Amino acid sequence: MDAMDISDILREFDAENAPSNSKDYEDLLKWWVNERAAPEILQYQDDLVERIMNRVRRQIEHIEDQTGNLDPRANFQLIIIQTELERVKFLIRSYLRTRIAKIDKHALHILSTPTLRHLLSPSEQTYLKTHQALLNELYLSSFLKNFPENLRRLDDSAGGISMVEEPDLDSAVFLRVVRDVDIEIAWEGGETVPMRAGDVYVIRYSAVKEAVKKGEVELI
Amino acid sequence: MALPHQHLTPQEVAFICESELITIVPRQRLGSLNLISIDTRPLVPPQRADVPLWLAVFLRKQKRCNVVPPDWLTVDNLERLVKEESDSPAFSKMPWRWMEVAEILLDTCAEDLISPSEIALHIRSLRELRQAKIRASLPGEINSSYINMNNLGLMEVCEVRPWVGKVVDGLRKIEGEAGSAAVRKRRKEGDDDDEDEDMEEDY
Repeated sequence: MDAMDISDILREFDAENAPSNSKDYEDLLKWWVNERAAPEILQYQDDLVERIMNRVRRQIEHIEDQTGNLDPRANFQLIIIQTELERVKFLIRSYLRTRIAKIDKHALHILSTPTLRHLLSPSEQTYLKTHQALLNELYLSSFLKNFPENLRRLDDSAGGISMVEEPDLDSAVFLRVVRDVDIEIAWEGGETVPMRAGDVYVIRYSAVKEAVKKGEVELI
Repeated sequence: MALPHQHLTPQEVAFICESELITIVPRQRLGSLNLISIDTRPLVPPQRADVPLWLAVFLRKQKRCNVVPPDWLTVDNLERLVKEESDSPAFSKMPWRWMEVAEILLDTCAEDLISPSEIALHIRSLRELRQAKIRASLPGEINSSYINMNNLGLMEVCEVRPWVGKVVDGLRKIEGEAGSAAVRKRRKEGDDDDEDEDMEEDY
C-alpha cells in the first residue's frame, strides 16, 4: 500500500513537470485537427514543426546507431521508438498534406491576398508559385491558346461570378471550448454566446476564427 | 492516408485517442525511453506508471504489463450511467473519448477489466440509448445559427458531423438574414425548456 502511495505522489509530481516534448506533440495534434476542420488555411506552425522535425531526425539517427545492437532489451526499446516515430511521421505528413490540399484548392485566392500568403511556410510559397506557373503554362498550351484573347484569364470575374474560388468562411465547424470565452455572433443582431470550457458547439467558422487562433477553442 | 479534405475518419479519431495517457502496472522492467512525444520514466514492477495508450496496448499484447482501467469504466459506474441515460432526456456526462477508450480497452486488454462482458454490454446500451437520443433530438435542434452539443463524445460528434454540417450550411444559404431572426424568436419561446435541461446537466 505504501509503495502505491509513493508512486501516486510521484505521478502527481511528474504531471506538474510535464516535459515540453509532450506539450509540442499535443500542440501538433491540435493544429492538425484545427487545420483539418477549418475552411481556410491557418498560420503555419513554423517553430513547432521545426522542433518536432529536429527530434524526428535525432530519433532516426539514434535508430541507425542502435540497429546493430544485439542486446534483446535494446532491441525491444528500438521497436517502441520506431513505432512512435511512425506515428509522429504520419501526423506531420497529414498536417502538411492538409495544407497542400487547401493551397491547391484556393491557389489563386491565396496568391492574390498578401495576408494569406504570409500564413504559408517558405516552401509552401514556392510550391504555390511554381505549381500555379506550371498549371498556367499547361492550360495555355493545351487549350487556352485557342480561345479569344479576352477569355484566357483564369481570374475572370465577368458576369458577377468570380473564377477565383474562395473558402466559405461561414461554413459550419464543430468545436470544443478550451477556455471560457464569450463569442459574439453578428448574424443574430450582436447576441453573445457564453462558451464554457468543455462545451461542444456547432457554429459558423467566421464567429470563432479569432478564438481558434488564440487557442480558446479547438476545432474537431 | 485519408484524403486531407475529408473530416476526421474514425481511425484518425482512434489515433488521437491513443495518445492519451493511461495507467499501467508493468510486469517487466523497461528503461526510460526518450520518445518524441514523451520521455517515459523507467518501468519498475509493480509501480504504476502513466504511458500513452498505444504503448500500453503494445506492452499489453506482449504481456509485459497490465492496464489499470480508468475509474469510470467499471460495472457499477456504467450501470448508474445507463440508468441515468434512460431516465433523463439530456445526455449524461461522459468522458470526452469514452467510446474510443472503451473500445480499445475491451479489444486489447479485456482480461484486465473486471467482468468485461458486462462492461461491453453496458457500453453498448449506453451507445444505443445515446444514438437514439441524438436521432430524436438533433433534427429539432438544428438551425443555421449555432447548436450546443454538450456532453457528446468526440466519436459521437464525428459520427453526426457529415450530415449536420451539410444541413446547417444548407439552412444558412436558404434562410439568409430573415431566417435567422425567426430562429431567434423560436429560441426565445423555447427558453423554458432550455432551463430544465440545464438543471439536469448540473445534477
